[in-house]
Amino acid sequence: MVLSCYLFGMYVLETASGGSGLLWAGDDRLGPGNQTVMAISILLAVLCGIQGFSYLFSQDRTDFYFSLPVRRRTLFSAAYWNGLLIFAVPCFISHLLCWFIKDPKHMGDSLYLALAGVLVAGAGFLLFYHITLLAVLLTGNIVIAAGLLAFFVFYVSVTFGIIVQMYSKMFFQTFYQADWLNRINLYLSPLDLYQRMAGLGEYGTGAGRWSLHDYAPYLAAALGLAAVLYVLLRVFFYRRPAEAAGKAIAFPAAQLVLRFLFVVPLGLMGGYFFRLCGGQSGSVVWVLAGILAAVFTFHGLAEVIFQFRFRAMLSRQRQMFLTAGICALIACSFYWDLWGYDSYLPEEAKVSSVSVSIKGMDDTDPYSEFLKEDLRNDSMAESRFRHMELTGERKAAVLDWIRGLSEHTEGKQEAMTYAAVAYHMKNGSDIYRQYPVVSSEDLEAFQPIYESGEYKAGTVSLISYGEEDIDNGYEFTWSNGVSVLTPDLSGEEKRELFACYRRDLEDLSMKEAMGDVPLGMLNFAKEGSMNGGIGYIYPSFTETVNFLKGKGIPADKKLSDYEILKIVAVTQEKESGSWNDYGRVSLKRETIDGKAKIKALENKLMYQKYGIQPLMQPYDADTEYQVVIKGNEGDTIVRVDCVALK
Amino acid sequence: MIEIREISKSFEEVKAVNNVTLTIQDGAVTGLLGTNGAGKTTLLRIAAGILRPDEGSITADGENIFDVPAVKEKIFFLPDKPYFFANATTASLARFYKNTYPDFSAERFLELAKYFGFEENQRLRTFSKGMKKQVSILCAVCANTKYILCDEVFDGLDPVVRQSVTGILRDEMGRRELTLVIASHNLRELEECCDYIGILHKGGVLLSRDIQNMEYEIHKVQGIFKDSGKELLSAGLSLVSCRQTGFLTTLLARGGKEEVRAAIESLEPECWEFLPLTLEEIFINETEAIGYDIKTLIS
Repeated sequence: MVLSCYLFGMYVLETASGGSGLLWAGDDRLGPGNQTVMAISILLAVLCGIQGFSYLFSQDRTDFYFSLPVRRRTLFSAAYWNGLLIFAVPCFISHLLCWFIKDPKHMGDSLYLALAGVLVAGAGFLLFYHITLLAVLLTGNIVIAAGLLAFFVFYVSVTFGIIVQMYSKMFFQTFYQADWLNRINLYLSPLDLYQRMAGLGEYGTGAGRWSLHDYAPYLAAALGLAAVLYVLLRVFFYRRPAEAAGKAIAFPAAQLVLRFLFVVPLGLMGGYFFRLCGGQSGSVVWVLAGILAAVFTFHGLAEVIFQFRFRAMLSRQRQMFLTAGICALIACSFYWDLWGYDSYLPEEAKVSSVSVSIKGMDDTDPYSEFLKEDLRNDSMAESRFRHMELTGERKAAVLDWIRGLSEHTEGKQEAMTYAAVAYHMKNGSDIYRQYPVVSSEDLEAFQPIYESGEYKAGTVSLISYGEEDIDNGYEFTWSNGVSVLTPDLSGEEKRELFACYRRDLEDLSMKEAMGDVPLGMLNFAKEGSMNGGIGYIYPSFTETVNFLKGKGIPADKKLSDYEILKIVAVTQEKESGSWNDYGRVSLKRETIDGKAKIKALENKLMYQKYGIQPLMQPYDADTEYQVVIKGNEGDTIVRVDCVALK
Repeated sequence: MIEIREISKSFEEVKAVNNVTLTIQDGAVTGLLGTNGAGKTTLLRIAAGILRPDEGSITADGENIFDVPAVKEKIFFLPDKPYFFANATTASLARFYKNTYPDFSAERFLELAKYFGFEENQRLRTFSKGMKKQVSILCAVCANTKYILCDEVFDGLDPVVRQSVTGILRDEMGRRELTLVIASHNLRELEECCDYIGILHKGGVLLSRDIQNMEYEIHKVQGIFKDSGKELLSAGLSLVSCRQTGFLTTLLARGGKEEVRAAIESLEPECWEFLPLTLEEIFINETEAIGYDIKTLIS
């Protein structure tokens, strides 16, 4: 109780002082998103769980408590509620104090936040408290209990978040991500669930942004899991034999289950690493050899831990071979794609809409040498999956196009780039795949889709903004890499500019996008911020260009139209003889200042940020050009980072 | 009474208690005798409701013991190493047991504690092993339970403390109906106080006897004989042991009392008499009859 009061006291002091000098905290001081409160909740859950039931680790103390004329359930309840109250009372009081201090007007909204903070902290505490108690009840030794606690907390994220994903990435050519894997990871991984429930790690959350409606599913999942664990705890405590004190695992049946859960993922990991040693063309023999080695090792380790003796390493050999067999079956099902993962194509009738993202096409952060790397964990693709919905004819066109791409997964052709696809199903689920794009014919076949309004709406973030943003203080900023200008527009004029841009974008063909480098860029963001929607201005965007020129912005000015004083070329050269692909890199600088040389180069140069179509407009990413341009004011210069088209 | 019916209990591959049937009579002192690993402690822990038996049943006054507070209120378990809360004092211990055992007399406990020189606010963790055992026995006695189960209660105590412990228990038995069960590996410790003895070996009950009413076929004789060795044998005595100290001969002989008397008188000793037997001597006969050497069963 003293520690609990101390920790929550620190939280109150920190909130009152408004600083983060005493404890590290997130930006949400009062509400659920406070990271200090999250840390305290988890810490107290573990400490209360272990401390309240630590007598189960000692034979003498267990005999003492179990010999008393008290029901087992009363023994359980007394320690359980004691731990709960040690957390709950200081938590509630500290949140009320913080609300009182931070909101002198005692408004209802801030009280709601404070109570939400108590609710989320309570749910998080219960979750970790019950997991800790489960670890304690299943073991008779404090070190094993601590290990088991870590096992329970990280098991799902390691097994599903890492190992299953690793196997999927290695053996499924079309693997992008799996919604069901993400859900399992989210809802069954206590740390991830608590973070999501509190709204942590999500951009834009913070004090005032948490709402019960939005986070109720996570709260319900946490409380549901805690409730299931509570029932298990009662059963295990009643059934736990007194002689389990001092043993590694309290229940023989639990040993069997835990050994299996422990060894299988590690066995699969061994197979994975052996396969890496065998290289990309490594056969299944590498996988099986790795599995056998890992299962032998970790099964032995588990036996040593469970029996507290080294000679136990070679015991239960039948179980070891059975476990190895199961690992081998799982690995082979991935190796030969017995799940039919790569050949999967959904029925059109079951698909609500489709989103597509091709690396190197309208790319926000392009480097052409990375085209051939797959798209997994690509934020651009994630954004398009959220904003793009290709339906009706477009959906059918995309599915046809993908059918053509999916045939490439059977062959071993080298990919030019990859296309990530999200099938938004009618049942509410999302299915993801990625397909290799191997030829220019594949790209040409994409043209009708590229030129559709729905595709452009998903790729050009500028047009995702609308009327309400115009009225909320959002403004346009134009830039071309040399200048940044903000036109002074009324609300009506902003609407007009939006309309011009939308019309120009609608008419943009794929051929124009391939052939033309953008002239400039429009950014639409809150006043003073550059984080908003972006739209590139192509030479064919006559309406947009004319509108901006009418406001005194040189929207059609190219780099070659400026007075270039000199160009400094910086080339990365990889040193030979390095033992890996990356090697050591040296930089070679060359200054180009002759007018003829500048003239020869200037038409090839483009502002670095406009390399958004490296697939269709390849450029030399090994050389950066710093173009020095004469400035408009006095004796000034402007430096512009550029790349050169190939 | 405590009825133990076909109780078995295993710890992994080791069968600690194997099909034990035993009755603990009310108002008597029952000794459980056996070497280390015989199953005495396990049996007591089952009787105290700590361990759940694998097979069989155990009842106190006809009711199951395990997880039944109303029955466990009649039983107080005294382990070999008593446990106390960290920072416990005699006063806090009295408060704790007052809340746990309904008939616990805190006033008597504190009175006895003072009598034995224990201060109310002295921390128990500073006590010696013997002092801790004394305190735990005081707790058991003042709990006013019907049964007290003692596991190696005399183990490690010096003779003075042992005598004081025995005195406390004897006084308590004189005051009210109390049933004591004492587990020990030392027959001599049990000799003076037990009404019943059960010998455990490898998890099973080897024999169980009512000491007071036992008829035994072994007798101890001490006397001065003319020619000890040959004439004793010629008298047809079945000798268990024979010890010569100067002129004095002390022997243990099997057979009925009258039979032994007749055999001794036939030798016309200078003088002789029957001596009382120790429990060990009694059990020599009993265990040899079933093929065991008493010395391997007890220490």
